[in-house]
Amino acid sequence: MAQTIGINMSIRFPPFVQRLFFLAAAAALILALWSAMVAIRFVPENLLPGPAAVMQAGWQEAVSGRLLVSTEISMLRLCSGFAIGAAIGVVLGILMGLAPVVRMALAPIVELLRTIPPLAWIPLAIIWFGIGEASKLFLIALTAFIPIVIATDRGVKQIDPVLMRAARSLDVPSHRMMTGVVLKAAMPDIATGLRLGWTLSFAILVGAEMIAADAGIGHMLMRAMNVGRFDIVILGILFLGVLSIATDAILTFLIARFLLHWHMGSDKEVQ
Amino acid sequence: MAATPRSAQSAGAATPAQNAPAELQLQMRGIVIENVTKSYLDARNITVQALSTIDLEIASGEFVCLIGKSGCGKTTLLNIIAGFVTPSTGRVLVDGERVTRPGQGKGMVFQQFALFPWLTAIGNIDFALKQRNLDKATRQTLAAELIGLIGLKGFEEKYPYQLSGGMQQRVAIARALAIDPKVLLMDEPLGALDELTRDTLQAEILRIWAAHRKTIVFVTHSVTEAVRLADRIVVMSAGPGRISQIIPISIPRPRLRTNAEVVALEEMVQAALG
Repeated sequence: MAQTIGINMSIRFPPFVQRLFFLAAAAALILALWSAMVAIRFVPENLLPGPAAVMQAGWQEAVSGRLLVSTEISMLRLCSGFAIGAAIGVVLGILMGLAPVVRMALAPIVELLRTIPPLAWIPLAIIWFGIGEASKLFLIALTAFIPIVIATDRGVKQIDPVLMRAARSLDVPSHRMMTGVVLKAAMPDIATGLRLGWTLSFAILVGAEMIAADAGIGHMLMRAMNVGRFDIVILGILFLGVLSIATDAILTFLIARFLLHWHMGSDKEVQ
Repeated sequence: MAATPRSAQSAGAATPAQNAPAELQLQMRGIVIENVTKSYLDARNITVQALSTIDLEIASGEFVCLIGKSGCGKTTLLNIIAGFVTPSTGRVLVDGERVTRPGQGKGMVFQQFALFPWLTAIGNIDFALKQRNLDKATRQTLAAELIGLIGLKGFEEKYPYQLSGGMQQRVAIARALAIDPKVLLMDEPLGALDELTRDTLQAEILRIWAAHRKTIVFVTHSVTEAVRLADRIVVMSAGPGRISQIIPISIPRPRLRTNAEVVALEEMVQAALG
C-alpha cells in the first residue's frame, strides 16, 4: 500500500530514531529561522537576541544557581498544589461516582467551575491569600482539581457493574471496596485526568508567577522583561517548554509504572 | 417418547430436602427457595411479573442447571439466590441462613469472567482469600492449591488480559472457591467461550465439583451442557417466568453424546423447552 501512494523507504529505522530525526530537523529549522530573523534585523538586536546570546545567558543563569533556585520554587509549588487538587479531586470524584446524591450536589458546581478560565481566579486569589505561597497553591490546586474530579467521576460511573457484583459476592469490606476495587477500576480515567490536570496546572503556575510572585520561573521572566534582559526572557520560554515536556514524560512514566502497569495499553511486550 | 430415559423414570424420586419436616429445613444445608416472586414497574409504571411463585429445594452438594429461553427469569432467579436482587415475596435460605445480600458465602461465576484486571491470576485468588482472616502462609498454600486445581501452574503471575477466555474463567472459578463458599452460583459461565474451550471447561467443572462437592446452581441455555452436567435440570418458561418442569438425571457421568440415553434425554429437555 505504501508504494502506491509513492512512499517507499527502503531502509526502515526504528520508530524512536525516526522521531529523533524529525525532532532534530524541527529544532534546526527553528534555529535557522531565528538566526535569520536576528541577521536581517527583523526587530532591533536588543529586543531579539540570537541563539548564541540566549545560550550564554542560560549558562550564566545556570552557573549562578539562579535558574535552579527558580525551578525548585516553581516545581515545589506545582507539585504541592497538584497533590492537593488531585487528592480532593479523586476523593470527591469517587463519592460523586458512587453516590447519586453527592453527584447532584457537586455536578453543577464542577460544571460552573470548569467553564471559568483558571487565570480569572488570580485577582481573588491575591485578595484572599496575598502574593505568598498560599495564592499559588490555591490556583494550582483548583486548576488540577477540575479535570481530575470530572475524570474520576466518569471513571467510577463507567466501572463494569459485573466487576462490582463480583467484589460484593466476595464479601469485600467497604474500605477495601474503595481502595482495592473502585479506585483501581477507575484508574485509567483518573490517569487521563491527572495528565490533563498537570498540563493545566503547569500553565496556571507560570501565569500566577508572572502576575503575583516574588520567585519562580514566571517571576524570573517578568523581572527579566522589566530590566530589558530579553535573552533571559527567551531562555525562560525555552526552558519552560523543556520543563513541561520533561515533567509530562515523568508523570506518564510514573502512571504507566505504578498506577496502570496492569493496563493492556501500557504493556508493549505482550501485544 | 419411545425410549424413556432412565432419568425420566426416577422423576418422582424426592430429594432429601423434600422429605425433611418443615422445622428441620431451617437447619438444612443446601438451598431452599420458598414462595419467591419478582415483579417490577416498567417505564410506563405498569407492573411486570418477572417470576411467578417459585418453590425449589436444592440439596447440599447437588448440581442443578437452570435452563430456559431468554426472558424466562432464570438469571433473575439466580440473582435472587445470590442476593443481588430482592424478591417481591418469599425468601431464599442457604444452609438455613436467609439471603439478604450478596456475599455470605455465595460464590459467583459470571459469563464475563469479571476478574480484577489490575491483579494477576494469583492476585485475584488471593484477593478473595484475604476475606477469610487467614495468615499469609496459609493463604499462599491455599492459592497454590487452587492454581493447581484449575490447572494454571506457570500462569500465576499473568494478568487477565494475558490469559485466554478459558483460562480467565478458570481463575474466576478458583476465586469463587477461595472464599470456601457454601454454594457456587454460575451465570452462563461458558456462554462467552468457543465450543472447544466450553467442552474442556465442562469437564473441568465436573472434576472440581467432584473434588469439592459444592452445591452448584448453573444457569445455561444449552441443552447439551445441562444434560452433561446436572443432577437435576430445572426447566423454566416465560410469561411470567416459572418452573415448567424438573428433570432429574441418573445417567452416570461422564455422559457421552454417543450414549443413546443421553441423546434421548437431550430430546426430552428440548421438548420441555417448547
